[in-house]
Amino acid sequence: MTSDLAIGHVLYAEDDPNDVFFMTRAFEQLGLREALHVVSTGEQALEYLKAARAASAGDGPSSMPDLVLLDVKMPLLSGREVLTWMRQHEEFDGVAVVLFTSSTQPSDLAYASEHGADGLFVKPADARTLMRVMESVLGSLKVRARGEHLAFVENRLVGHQP
Amino acid sequence: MPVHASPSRPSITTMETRSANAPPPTPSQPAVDADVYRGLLHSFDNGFCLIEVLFDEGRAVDFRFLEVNAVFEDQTGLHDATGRCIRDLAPHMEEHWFTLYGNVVRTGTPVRYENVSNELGRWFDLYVDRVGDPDAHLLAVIFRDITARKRADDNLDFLVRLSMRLAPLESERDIVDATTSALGEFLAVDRCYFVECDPGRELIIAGPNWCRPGTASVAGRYPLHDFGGLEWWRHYTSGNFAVEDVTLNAFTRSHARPYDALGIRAYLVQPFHREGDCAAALAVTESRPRAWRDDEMQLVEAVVARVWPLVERARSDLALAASRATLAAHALDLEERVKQRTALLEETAAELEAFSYSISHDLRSPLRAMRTYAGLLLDRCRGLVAREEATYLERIVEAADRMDRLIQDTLVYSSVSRTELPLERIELAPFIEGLIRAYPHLSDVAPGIHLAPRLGAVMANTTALGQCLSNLLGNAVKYVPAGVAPEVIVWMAASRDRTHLFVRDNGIGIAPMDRERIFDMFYRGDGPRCGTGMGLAIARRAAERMGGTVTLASGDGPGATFDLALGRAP
Repeated sequence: MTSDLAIGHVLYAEDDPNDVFFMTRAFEQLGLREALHVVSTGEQALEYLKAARAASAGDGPSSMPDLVLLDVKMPLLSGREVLTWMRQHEEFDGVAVVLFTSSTQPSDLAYASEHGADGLFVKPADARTLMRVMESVLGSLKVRARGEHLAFVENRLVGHQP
Repeated sequence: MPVHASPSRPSITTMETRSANAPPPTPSQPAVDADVYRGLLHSFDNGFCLIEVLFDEGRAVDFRFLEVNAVFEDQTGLHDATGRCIRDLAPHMEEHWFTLYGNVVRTGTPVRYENVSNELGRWFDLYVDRVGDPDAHLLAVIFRDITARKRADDNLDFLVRLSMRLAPLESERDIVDATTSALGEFLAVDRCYFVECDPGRELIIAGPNWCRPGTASVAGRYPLHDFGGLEWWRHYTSGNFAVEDVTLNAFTRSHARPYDALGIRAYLVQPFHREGDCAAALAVTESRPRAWRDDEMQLVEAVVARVWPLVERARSDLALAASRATLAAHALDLEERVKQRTALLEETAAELEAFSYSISHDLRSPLRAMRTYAGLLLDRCRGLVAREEATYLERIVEAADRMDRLIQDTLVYSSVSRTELPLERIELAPFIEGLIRAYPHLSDVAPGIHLAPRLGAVMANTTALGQCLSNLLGNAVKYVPAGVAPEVIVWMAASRDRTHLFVRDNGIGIAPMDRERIFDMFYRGDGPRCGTGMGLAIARRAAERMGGTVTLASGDGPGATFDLALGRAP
């Protein structure tokens, strides 16, 4: 079930160790553990992205992630701000961004779609659902042409049961 | 006094002389006797006198009355003038009269002349002609006293000038000052001012004074009593109140002291009446006795009639402007306050928003972790552990789900307080049945919840009604004595414009001391089955947001009955 989802790599910014555990577990189950790079703050995500940009500008192999998963609510630099920063720099146009939130508040959804995110998911409360969500996200990432954005998805579109 | 007027006097021969110089009368025309003319002149209503002008070194310096007619004394005020010189009768007779008469004597040209004699205090319109022998220096003077006409003209002229002067003025003070100074100067009095009586009729208020230099102002407030009270005021303002001498006047002599203190000996007052009451009066005063003339009284009356309405208009303009300013200030103040309150409300709303956002994220995160781990454990252990342990894990998952729902419901409730709640017709029976199914704490005791038949419909909002009824029913099933199964009865009653849904339980009832507080936020009753303390507060708030109420209909027990009143559905 894993080989057809093979992608470059995924950056995941999340400050909650439990969520990191669940996400890592989901990637493991999808056979993509090696593709997942985890940072625990928005600042680290920014640092990682800047380094990736510098590397890809050189002659070496591109280390730009294919997908960035951002927790909306992190202390200091939030997922919202990382998203905004990325969409202000066209080098990241080809990078899909999906936000994860604990909240059912409509404001997060509105913010994500208005600021160029490719999807927003309310964090599922069980491991199986999370795996299905990631399967769906990575699947749509694979079929999209490089350089295009994903059609914006929110949790309901991929069959998540709230 | 010697009387010189006689037929043998030169004055008569004057007429004869003239007749002699004229062509002789024709025989068919009988000569008119000089006595006829004389009689005519004496019965004439114009003044007539025959004078002899006296010269000194070619300059007319005096004149002697040789003959005067019957109305002469009336018209001039000179008594027993015949045979006497004017310098004797009126020593300060103005020079222009002598100049005029001298010229007529020298030239023989008759003159029509209009001039004033301040010495006599009169204006005259006169016709002067030389009669008789030019060397006799005789003049015939026919004249009228035109003082009254002249004064009337002057007064009218004064009123016109005053009107023009007042026209551009707007403030009461300017109008008053211009009026009193003009009138005071014109009448040559000591003072001129307006007087009002205060509404309580206890004080008289003398307005700003125009005063002749050296005269003190009497502006100020005075006890009405000092001047003779209301009786005096009525008299004072009855019109044409002219006192020649306050020490002699019947109305003022008993109160001469205050007048004396104010330096008033004579005064003239004319009132301005509005709707029968005297609004104000215009007064002029003299420190010496003065006989007031009719034309002066009329003039003062005319002035107050013209000016006081202007003063009243100035006052009402001012009052209007003041009330406009007050209104504008209030409006501004109100606007500012609304702005401040709105800002405060917006701030509070934003804080609430941030708070609920924070709760939504932060409370739910650990819960989600607990639930996910429990789920993982359940997956991992399925088949490995005893059925009882698996049940525990399921209970953990269920409890976490319930708590998540509670958090979300609370958040929904807080947004219910802030958002519009459109009302719709809701059939109660299916709605409550669905509610019981959806909430485990209700579905667990569903057999004990009895709905009366034909519950009907209400006007409500689905979300808010769900919040309200789930809490009322949850409350009803919660507080039962140990070992007693909850029994809840729900029925409906309609009043004129409301539908009342009653929820009665078989619980422990509500102590009288708690009845006021059960609807308070986070108030919790005693006992082992305490809730979050938000249930009834939420129920009441949700009902209020739908224009309804939740009240305790009966708490005496056994059990309690709550009354949810909502708008009737059509």
